[in-house]
Amino acid sequence: MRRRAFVTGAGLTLAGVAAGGAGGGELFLLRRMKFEELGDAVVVSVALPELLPTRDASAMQSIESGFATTLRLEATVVRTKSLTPVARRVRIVKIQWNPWRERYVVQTTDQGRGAAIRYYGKRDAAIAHAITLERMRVARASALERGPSATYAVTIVGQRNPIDPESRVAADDGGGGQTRGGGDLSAFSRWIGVFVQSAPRAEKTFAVRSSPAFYLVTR
Amino acid sequence: MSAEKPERRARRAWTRGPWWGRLESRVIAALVVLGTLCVGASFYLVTLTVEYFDGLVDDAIATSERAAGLAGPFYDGYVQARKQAYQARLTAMARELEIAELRAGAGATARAVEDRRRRQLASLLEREDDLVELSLRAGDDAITVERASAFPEESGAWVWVPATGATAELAPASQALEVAAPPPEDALERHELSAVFALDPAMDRRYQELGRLQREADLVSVGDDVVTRESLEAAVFRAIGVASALVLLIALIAGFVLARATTRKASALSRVMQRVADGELTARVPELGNDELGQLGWAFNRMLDELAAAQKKLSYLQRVGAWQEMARRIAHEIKNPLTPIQLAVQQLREKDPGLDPRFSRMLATSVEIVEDEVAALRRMVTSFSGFAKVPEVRLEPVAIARVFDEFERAYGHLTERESDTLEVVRPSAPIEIAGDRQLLKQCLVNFVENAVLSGREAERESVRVRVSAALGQDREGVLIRVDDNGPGIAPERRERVFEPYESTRRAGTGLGLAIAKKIILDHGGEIWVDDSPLGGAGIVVRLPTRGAPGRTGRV
Ligand SMILES: Nc1ncnc2c1ncn2[C@@H]1O[C@H](COP(=O)(O)OP(=O)(O)O)[C@@H](O)[C@H]1O
Ligand SMILES: [Mg+2]
Repeated sequence: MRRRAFVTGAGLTLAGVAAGGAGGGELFLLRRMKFEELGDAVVVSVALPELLPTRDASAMQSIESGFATTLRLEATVVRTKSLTPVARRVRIVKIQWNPWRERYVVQTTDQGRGAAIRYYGKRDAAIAHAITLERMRVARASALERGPSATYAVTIVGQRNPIDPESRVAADDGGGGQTRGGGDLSAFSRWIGVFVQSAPRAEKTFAVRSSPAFYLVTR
Repeated sequence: MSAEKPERRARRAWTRGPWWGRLESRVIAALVVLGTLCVGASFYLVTLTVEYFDGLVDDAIATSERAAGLAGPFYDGYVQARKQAYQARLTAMARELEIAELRAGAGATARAVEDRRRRQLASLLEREDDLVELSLRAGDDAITVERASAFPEESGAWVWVPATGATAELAPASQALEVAAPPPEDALERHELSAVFALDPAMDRRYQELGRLQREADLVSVGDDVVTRESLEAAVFRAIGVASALVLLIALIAGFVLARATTRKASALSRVMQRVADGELTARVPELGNDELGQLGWAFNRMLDELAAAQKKLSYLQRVGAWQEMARRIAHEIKNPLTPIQLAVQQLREKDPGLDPRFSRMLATSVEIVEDEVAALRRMVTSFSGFAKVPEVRLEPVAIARVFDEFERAYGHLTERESDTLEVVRPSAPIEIAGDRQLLKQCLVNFVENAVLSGREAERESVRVRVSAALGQDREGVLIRVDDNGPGIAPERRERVFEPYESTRRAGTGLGLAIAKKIILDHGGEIWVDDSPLGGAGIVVRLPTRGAPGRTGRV
């Protein structure tokens, strides 16, 4: 009787751990977006000021100190019913104060394309440009079905200053204290790794989904 | 046995208490409490340790943040200084242009002057190895030389730093200049000189790296993952919690097994005790190992053995006592009519008138038969009453050697036959016992008599009997043996021969060994039948010794 109680207790603990270890799914805010069809491209226009709000003092201070701030925007086109992804595009935006020329540089790099650079004298203008997707290509029109029965939505996951574990390991001359040390210590480190919950991928993450959905009109 | 006794027993037999009252449960509970205490204490210590080091890390991070904060102004200062240096170089180049202009002298066409100035700028560009572009502007006219392709900015390999605001006072092209006298101030034309310098961005890269470090100061790598310190801390607590739970679980299982091993012995012991209490005297505790419980079981078994031996002895003595009583009655009932019978038969013989010789002969024969049988009956009565009246043993200190001496003196010649021999082996060291000399001697006589009779019955050429004594193993008592070379006693009869009236002889009464056993038991000794080195039977008697030989005199 008592033995069974023990087993159940252990089972509960493990279940809790498993539930804690999983997860990491983002919460999407619904947002109105503008969709257009330009040639074969479906483009979206929307602003995500939450990703880099000008009232975020530490983020602003970081920018003004001359440190680069990177925004990673991942736009995914999904079918509204099944939420199956249809197309995905990634855009990297880098805002940086250039002290030599005393101006803000906003560099936008779209997946598979070269970088576009814009200069601003004012910080807020640079930020406004950085957090706005202006006709960003999210899919090829030919890849989507046409007609009102095929509705799509776009989810955008924005990350501010995403963390790249590989660059960290490379920069940290050996990857931090946890991986150093003898066998016991590394075993302990692995043991702890089992219990680490959803690692943060960025300094800040913000996700939206288009609402209402869109569909391509039949030609 | 009273009627209520089994009932009481039945009430006592109910022993199993509630589970929390059992030894096993208590041992396990103690282990649980101890284990929980230990694990809890170490968990608490770990928590404290983690928090303590977390505080240290916080301090370290604060320090490094302050250091990074200091780096900001430092970088600003670096940028300013660098810019001023470029500015100074630009000014110096403007001055060089002015001097070169003076040296070259005047008197050239506008075109020639422009060519000259371009060459001048080109040589400056050539000389300064980090110069990307140099331009001289007066109004809307500008002369620019550049080598942008040598310092690509897009790739990030170089940073272009513009420098402006240096002015060069140069004479207009149309105006002739005297070398000896400098031209008047207002005759000169004001030119703006600006440049773009290429800067190695290593410092900038380092500064950016600093920003990243500062941003990620609170992050830690765990394997391939990067997590915040806070969540790592939570993970550490969880990991240690689970590890502690596992340790506790293992300790519990181990404790459970151990407790079971111990309490299983205890319950085995108590089960056997229960059976013994229920009258099953043959029950024995199984082997329980070498610990205290094993010892207890062994002692309990020994106690049961001794109890069984005592019971056997008691029942034997009871049986012999009953036989003795019967022998006494029979002897009494038979002895009384024997004398009148004998007298009557004698009278019959004396009163024979002798008229008829045939009748006389018949009478004589009959009388002889009756007298013989009466004599036999008398002998039987004698041995019966001898058995009935086995005297009580009176213990006194006596040396074995003395008993042997007296026995040999009385029984020295075993038989009338020369070939029969009796050998008496005295103990090497004097042994003293508490015993009854007369009765012990009688025992020896009974044994030797049996040996001789059995030897005769088996028609041995020469009967050999040996009486010997030695200290028992572990000095526990003295062993007296009577060995012979007769037919021996079959193993299955070795117990029975001590029962009264158990005899294989025609004229035997079966009382000799019974009397001897009673005497030996009354001495507190034992008797049994063994094989003999002489080939026949060996009767072995063990008697308790009276301590060391020096302690004679004390009874
Ligand atoms: N030394 C011996 N050798 C062989 N048999 C013996 C010996 N002693 C005793 N016995 C056997 O034990 C029986 C009992 O002996 P005992 O009690 O002396 O009675 P009894 O001598 O009157 O027969 C004998 O009848 C005999 O069978
Ligand atoms: Mg006899």
